Amino acid sequence: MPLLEVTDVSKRFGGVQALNGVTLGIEAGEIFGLIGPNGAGKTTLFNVISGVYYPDGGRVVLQGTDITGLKPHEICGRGIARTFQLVQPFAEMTVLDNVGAGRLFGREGREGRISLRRARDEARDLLRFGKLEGREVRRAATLTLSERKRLEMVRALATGPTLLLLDEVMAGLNQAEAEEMGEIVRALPQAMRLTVLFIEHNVRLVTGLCTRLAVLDYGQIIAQGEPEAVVRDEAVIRAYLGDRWARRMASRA
Amino acid sequence: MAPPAVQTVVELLLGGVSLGGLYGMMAFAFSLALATTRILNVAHGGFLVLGAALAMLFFRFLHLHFLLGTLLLLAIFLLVGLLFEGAFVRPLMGRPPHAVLVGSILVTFGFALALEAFLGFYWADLVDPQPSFTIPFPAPTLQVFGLTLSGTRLTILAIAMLTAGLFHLLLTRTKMGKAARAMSEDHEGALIIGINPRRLSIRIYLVGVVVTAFSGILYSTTAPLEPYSGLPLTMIALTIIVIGGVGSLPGALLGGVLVGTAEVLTTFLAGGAWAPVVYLLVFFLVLVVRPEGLFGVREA
Amino acid sequence: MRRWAAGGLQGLAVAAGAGLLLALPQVATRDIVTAVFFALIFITLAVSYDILGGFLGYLNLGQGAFFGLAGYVLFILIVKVAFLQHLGPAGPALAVLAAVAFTALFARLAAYPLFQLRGAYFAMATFGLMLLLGHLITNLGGLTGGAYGLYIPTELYLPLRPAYTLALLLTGLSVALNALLARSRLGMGLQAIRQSELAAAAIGIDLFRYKSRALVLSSLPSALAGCLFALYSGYIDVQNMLGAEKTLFPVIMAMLGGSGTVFGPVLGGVIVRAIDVSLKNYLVLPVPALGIYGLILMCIGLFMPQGILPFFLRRRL
Ligand SMILES: Nc1ncnc2c1ncn2[C@@H]1O[C@H](COP(=O)(O)OP(=O)(O)OP(=O)(O)O)[C@@H](O)[C@H]1O
Ligand SMILES: [Mg+2]
Repeated sequence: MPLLEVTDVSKRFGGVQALNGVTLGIEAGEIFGLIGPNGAGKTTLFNVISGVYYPDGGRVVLQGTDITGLKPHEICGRGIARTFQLVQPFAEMTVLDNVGAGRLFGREGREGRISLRRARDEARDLLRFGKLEGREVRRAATLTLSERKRLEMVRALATGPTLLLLDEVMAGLNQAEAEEMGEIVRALPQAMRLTVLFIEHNVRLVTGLCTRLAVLDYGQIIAQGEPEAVVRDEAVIRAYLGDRWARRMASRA
Repeated sequence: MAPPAVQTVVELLLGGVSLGGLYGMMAFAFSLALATTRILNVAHGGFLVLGAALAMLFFRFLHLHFLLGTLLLLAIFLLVGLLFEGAFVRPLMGRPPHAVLVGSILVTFGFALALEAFLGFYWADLVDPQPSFTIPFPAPTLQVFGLTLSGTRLTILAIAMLTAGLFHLLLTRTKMGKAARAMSEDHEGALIIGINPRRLSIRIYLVGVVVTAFSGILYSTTAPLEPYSGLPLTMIALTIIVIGGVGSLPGALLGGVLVGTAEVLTTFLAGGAWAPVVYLLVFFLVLVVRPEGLFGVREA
Repeated sequence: MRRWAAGGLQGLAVAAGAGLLLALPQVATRDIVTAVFFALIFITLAVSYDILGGFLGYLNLGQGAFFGLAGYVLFILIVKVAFLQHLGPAGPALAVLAAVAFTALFARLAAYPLFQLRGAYFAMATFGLMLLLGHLITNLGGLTGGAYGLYIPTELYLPLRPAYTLALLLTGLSVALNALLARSRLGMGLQAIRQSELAAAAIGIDLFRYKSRALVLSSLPSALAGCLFALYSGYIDVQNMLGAEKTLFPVIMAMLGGSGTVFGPVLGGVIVRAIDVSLKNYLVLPVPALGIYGLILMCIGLFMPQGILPFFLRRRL
């Protein structure tokens, strides 16, 4: 049984069919990549899984339990944590308190099971994992973009998830920063014993990182499977580069 | 002659719909400003009061000629719109969202209170110890199928419909209207494609203040407005928006007619003191039962 | 080091202030004690306002609703429930408990419509709630005395001395509540919500529950303040319990002193009361006080949205 099963999920915004019958299965322990052109519906899928939007149709099942339509905090309590494409740090809190809040309110700290002091202590360890040591007492607003992206990931980790959703954590970073982030993501399944579903634009980074890959285009999954096979798929090339390119690539093969 | 019961029902309906049309006008002006600038103007209702007070001053105390007085009022309202936008709305634009929220509430709420206090105080001091703004407008009644219809209410209804038509043309036919619609549908997108938010905001306020102030004059031809009616009128505009959706012209008209009719019926059945209770209950009820609004999508 | 020094200094200032205020009735004239009593009532309103306004970042323009509702429930109970008048001082005390509980319940229920909204819509809706309450009280004359208001028997009036002491205690508790909140789980949750609702929900904060708790918590000191004020006055009507200044003062005081800081609303309260007393008693200007406050509010909004205290301290909470 997959860890997460998304079945036939659809979501419409006015005239835009953002998701159109999306079906996906994520296995425990994998790093699953999700790519697709701008506006394909990737973030919307995250929003449906994490309870920000209620889907028009379809189901989201985690470890055999239907979690469709639960509120975001309930989904967090079930063990799904996420980051946001547009980073959302608690800007006026310290870096330590950002992560501490994740400990305090997340799955493991529910109903006050973790004290404020303990939450801060445990936050320090996580900050080290996210290469943010030395930043503890800074206000989150003063961090660089790369640091804020890592902070957001660490805050999500602090909630104690079994599944982590990462929305373009490498976008906007320079080469070195992106590679540093890639190393952290690669270490996640082992170090934190969790499963990763991540959205990325940079196809080269994705293929090097994920165990499986799916491509979303106009709200539909057009290909999924082994990363190398998927990026050579004709439909995928067409979606990314347009018809002419696809024909040229096909004739060359 | 129609039977008295029929006459009463028709009178109530005409009263409700004409008041509703008037509410719809002023609520749409409020709604459009909110949708395009993202600033909720708490002082909106104050413009109705200001309109009525100035019109009363000009026509009943200074006895200005109708045309001269109207032109003068128009000029004053344009100036008020210009100053209000420049002094209070403009400085807030471009601040971070929370700062815009705090700033706009403090500034427009403060303005509303100051306007109410100063108008009430000086009017009582200089003109009338019991400030109350009315402008009698004795339009002849109309006889249709044996029914007697109030000419004043018919005139108000006609003006409201005309204004709604003009609003529709403004939104669909002019560059400003298209920019306003783009801005209210997709704020960030509109900024990206190069719509100038400041130029738009000043125009919206010019049109909005004029329409609202003249709505206030119309209102005062059938019922008095008082210095402290402003904030409740803003609340009525907000109720209409919660019912009809932000930035929606049909929503504002429908919501206006709903609130106007409810007010007239309540006044008839239970007395005028219960009218505000009814619209406020409607406001909270809609929020609990259908937070997305009755007809449209409300942005919160 | 500097933090310790600042903390110690703050503690010293608070202790000195409290001692001074406690001793005030022994040394000051009745007028001064009365003025300080009213100041304490309003400061309590401002401090409890700031649980929503400062911690959560939701502007409540209807804080006075809790104040007025509690006062009315209290008086209705005392006037209509005959046996309460035969219990001596325990009668009003019981009625106060009931009034505060009722107000808290009202706050909890009001959370349902109010927290469908955010930002300016929320602020306006809270104002609407206060309007609604005012109209209901005016219209339900049989219960509330309508436009005539309600009186309680003179022997139940709360004399100035005990009223003053209770108000001082209430203000102290209200400040302590905020100080505790700033260090608590709930307080951290509220601050997280203020800074990003999206992220707060994603890390497991139940937005509605936290917001409702904040609303109920902020209603308690305000309700007690309303009861104290009503018992001291012996007479209530819509104007003195739910008038515009009950809503205006908490906002001005908190914003002026510094919203989101424990002592900001207190400082703002002192300043605003000082202005108020001088406006009404010394500077007999030919302008309405409410107009002046409207102008002050506008100036804060335009020129110093962060308030005085943070301006000097640059340290939140
Ligand atoms: N809240 C919303 N209201 C209206 N339309 C929306 C909303 N959220 C997303 N959309 C639309 O749904 C479509 C999918 O958007 P989504 O953000 O999921 O794309 P994406 O794949 O994440 O794109 P990107 O790579 O640019 O992040 C887009 O056309 C977008 O405009
Ligand atoms: Mg996206």
